[in-house]
Formats: sequence, structure tokens, C-alpha cells
Amino acid sequence: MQISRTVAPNISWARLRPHIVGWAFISPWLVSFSFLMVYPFIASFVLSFTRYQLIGEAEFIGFENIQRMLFEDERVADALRVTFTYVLLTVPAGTAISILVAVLLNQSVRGIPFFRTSFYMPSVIGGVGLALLWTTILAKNGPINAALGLVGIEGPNWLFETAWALPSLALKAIATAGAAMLIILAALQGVPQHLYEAVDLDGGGEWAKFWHVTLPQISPAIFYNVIVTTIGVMQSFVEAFIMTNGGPGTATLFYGLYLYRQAFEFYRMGYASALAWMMFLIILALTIINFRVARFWVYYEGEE
Amino acid sequence: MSVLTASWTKSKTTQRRLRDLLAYTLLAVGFVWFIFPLFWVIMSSLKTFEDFNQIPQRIFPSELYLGNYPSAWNSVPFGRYFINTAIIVSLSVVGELISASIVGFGFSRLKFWGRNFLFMVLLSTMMLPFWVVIIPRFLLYRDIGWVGTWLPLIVPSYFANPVYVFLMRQFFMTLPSELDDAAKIDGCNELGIFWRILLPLTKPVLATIAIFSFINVWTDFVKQVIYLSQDSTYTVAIGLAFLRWQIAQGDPVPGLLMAATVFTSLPMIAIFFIGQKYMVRGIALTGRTGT
Repeated sequence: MQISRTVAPNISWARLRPHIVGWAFISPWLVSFSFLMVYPFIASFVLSFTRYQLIGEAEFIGFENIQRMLFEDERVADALRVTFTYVLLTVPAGTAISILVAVLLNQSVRGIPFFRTSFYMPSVIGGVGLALLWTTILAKNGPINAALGLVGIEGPNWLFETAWALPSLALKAIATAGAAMLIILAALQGVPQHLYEAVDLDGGGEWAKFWHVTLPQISPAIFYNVIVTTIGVMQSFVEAFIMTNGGPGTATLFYGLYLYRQAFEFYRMGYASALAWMMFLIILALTIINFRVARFWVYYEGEE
Repeated sequence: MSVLTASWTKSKTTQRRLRDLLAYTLLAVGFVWFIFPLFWVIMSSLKTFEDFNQIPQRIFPSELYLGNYPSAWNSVPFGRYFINTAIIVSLSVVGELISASIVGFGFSRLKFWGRNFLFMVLLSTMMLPFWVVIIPRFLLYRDIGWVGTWLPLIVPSYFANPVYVFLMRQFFMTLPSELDDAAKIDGCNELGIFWRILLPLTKPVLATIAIFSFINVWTDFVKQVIYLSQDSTYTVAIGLAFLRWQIAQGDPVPGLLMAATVFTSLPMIAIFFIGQKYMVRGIALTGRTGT
């Protein structure tokens, strides 16, 4: 009797201890998750229904912001059109080029590490530096127009003409997608060799190998890339902010840039929060659509 | 028979050679496509104003003009901006390394209530758009007096970035659990297992995280421009943006801008060459470059 009384609390402490220790180890993340994720996520939803200009109290105005955003503010429609067009210009072409370059870098020829390094290097510059770099490349008297001049075409002033500004930013985005290329390259290197040997036995050529083995095998990596780049591109900001300032007119007015201006130039925190929540819902919808469509083209081992 | 085999082998080698030729041609095209912009910027930084206004510009400067570099360096206080950025970056990198390894250890080597569920939650937060949380975060930092200081750029690093936690966890999972058991028998507690047994084995991942966070913090223009408001606290990226806007306001000195682009990119290029191996591995493992 005496023994069991002293042992019992020890057992329950021993049972509890690993859970307490576990939660203690992950507590740094629990803090940032609560204060920098959950709280802001809910707070921006609540702020969407207020008018708040940084001074005084936030004033509850019901659906006014949402009505203005959806029906009255023409700039929002412009920003959405620009951003969707930008996604359509960059994601499919960027994915295709990443696959192509990755397949090229997966060839067994000498000097591949050198090429891999030089293909990836420009994308590490990132941010403002990379944006400025491409501003010079796309200048009226820059190298692209010089190359076009060689074949007798007079190139436009890319970043300052309404028709060309957005495609120019898309070109920059596609040319610097080094990470996507490396992800697909890693997937290519994981394709089991025996699958290729099976095609050899069936008398299939290179094309059959690519179409029936390589593409299905790397499709999960491609899918992942499409998801991540779509989410990233939807939030683009720096390119427009540095290279075009949203112009000419509204030709490159990214949704992220418009949101930034509303929040941090005009200090309309309520309205900007409504814009942010709409961006969240659009990205969520795009991700769900991507997952639905994935059933038709992404191949997972162990299915069928 | 032997003749047949010989001719077959021969056609195989010709085919092989053709393939290599095609591969090298395409690789060369890719090389020009990816490297040329960098090369162009370096050349442009060495051009005089007259060189710049040629239509079209020549690739090489007519003379090697180094004057753009000192004038870019002095046109905005880049010296101070470099020191500021270095402080922000190094304190952030330290924070990311400490917090990601502790949390990653918890999620991989310990068993506790809600672990798998919480890990799923952690993964899903990686998809949450930055813009949807930025406004309340800004208001929160303002209320505690942090806006205008470096704290909003540094302190969150000490509370575990989900991408780096994921990276750490994936690596910890590959280490055999016998390590922990043996340490436990020797009387090690969890902290001891983490600090003395496992952490020394994670150097490659720590290197990957250090490089990713270095590059991400250095180039993270959006947060810097939102939170910083005084010249004395500005970063390299903001300095570069300043130069850009001065030029947009009709002060055309592009050579100077290109020189600034070159010397502000050098830390990235250096880090890339030092840690390329770790970067490539990290991207392959997580499918992203952090944040």
C-alpha cells in the first residue's frame, strides 16, 4: 500500500514528461505560429470590415470595403487582370523551360557541374539587384534590341510601352527561375534506371523514354513547382516596384503592388486588409483547382 | 558476325557523338542565355556616359572606366548600409539556425501528443500568402514600438521558420534511432541528445539553412522597406532602390547604377560559390529556397 502510493505519481509524471518535453522543444514555433500567423490571419479578416488610417480607433463600416473592392474600385480589376495575365505568362512557360533545361543538365556529358552552376547563379542575386540587372537588359539601347537589330527588327522600349511592359517582366521571371530547374533536376536524378531499360527491351527510342518514363516519374515535382510558383507569382511585388513602378499606366500594376500602396503609402489599413483577404481566397482557389486538375496528369507510384 | 557487330558499335558511337554535339550546342545556348545578363552588367559598370548613349550599345566599353564604382559607393552611404545589412543578416542567420534545429529535433526525434497534427499545420502555413499577415504584423510591431528598428527583421528568426524546420526534420529523420537509445542508456536527457549527439551530425543542413537565410534576408526588400524609415537604419537593398529612383527622376547615370548592382550582388555570388553544394541539396530536399 505504502509502495504503490509513492509509485503512482511517479508513473504519471513519467507518462507526462515526454509530452511536456516535446512541446517545450517546439515552443519557439508555437510562439511564432500564434502571434505571427494565427493572430494576423484573423486580425486582417476583422480589419477588412473597418476603416483604419493608423491614427485613432478602427471604425467598423460593415461591408463597405468589400463593396468598394468588388464593384467600385476599377484599379482592383486592373490589378487582378495584370496579375492573372502575369501568372499565365510565367507559370506554364517557366515550367516548360525548367523541364527542358533540367533534362539538358541531366545528360551524361562532361562539364555538367560547370553548366549547372552558371545556369543557377543569376537567380541567387535576387531582389532589387536582379530587377536592376534586367532593367538594363531591357533598355531601349540594350542588348536585346541590339540582337534584334542584327536581324533588322527595331525593338521597342520594353519596360515603357504598354503592350510590352508585362511580357518583359514575365521574360525576366522565366529567365531567373533557377530554383525550379534544380528541383526538377533532382527529380530526374531519382528516376529508376530499370524503367529506361524496360523501354530499351521494348524497342522504344529516346522520345518514348521521355514521354512514358521521364515525364510521369517527374510529374509530382512538376506539380509541386506549379503550385509553389503560382502562389509566389500571385504575390509578386519587387519587379513592378523597381522596374516599372506599376506603369506605364496600369500595365504592370501587380496586385501586391496595389495592396502595398493602399497599406503603406495611403495607410488604408482596413481596405488593404480586405484586399489581402481576397488575395488569400484567390490563391486558395487556384491551389484547389491545381490539385483537382492534378488528378489527370500527376502520376504517383502505387496507384492504378 | 564480327563485321556486323563492328558496324553496329560504330553507328552507336556516331549516334552518341551526335547526341553529345546536340547537348553541347544547347548547353552553350543556355550558358549565353543565363550568364550574358551578368556579363552585360559587369561590362556596363565599366562604361563611360558616352558609351552608354550609343545606339545600340557595344558589348565592351571603349575604355575601362572604373570611376562608376567610387561614385556609386559615395552617392548613397553604402558603407553604412553594408554594415547595417551585415548586422541584420548575421543576427537573423543565428536565430534561424538555433530555432530551426530545436524545433526540427522536437518534430522528428520526440513523440508527444499532437505532433503529427501540428506538423501538418506547420507545413500548411508555408502556403499562407505573405500579404495576408503583413498588415496586422505591422500594427503589432508598431504597438510595441518596433517599427523603424531592425527588430521586426531579426526577432522572428528566433521563432522558427517552417521551411527550415522542415529541412531540419527531414535530416534528423535519416539518423538512426539507436543513437538516441544509446545516449539514453548513458544517462543523457533530451537536451543532451540534441546538443551533444545529434546536432554535431547536422552540420550540412545547418550550412544549407545558413546560406538560404543569408540570401533571403539580404534580398528581402519588401520587409525592409515596410519597417525601416530612417536613413541610419537602411539596408543595401534600400540603398540600391534609392539610386534607381534618383535616376528615374532624370539624373541619368546608368553606369553608376550598374556598378552599384555589381558590388551589392558580390556577397550573394560569394556565398553561392562557397556553399553551392549545400544549396543544391537543400533545394532538392525542400523544393524551395526558404521563406
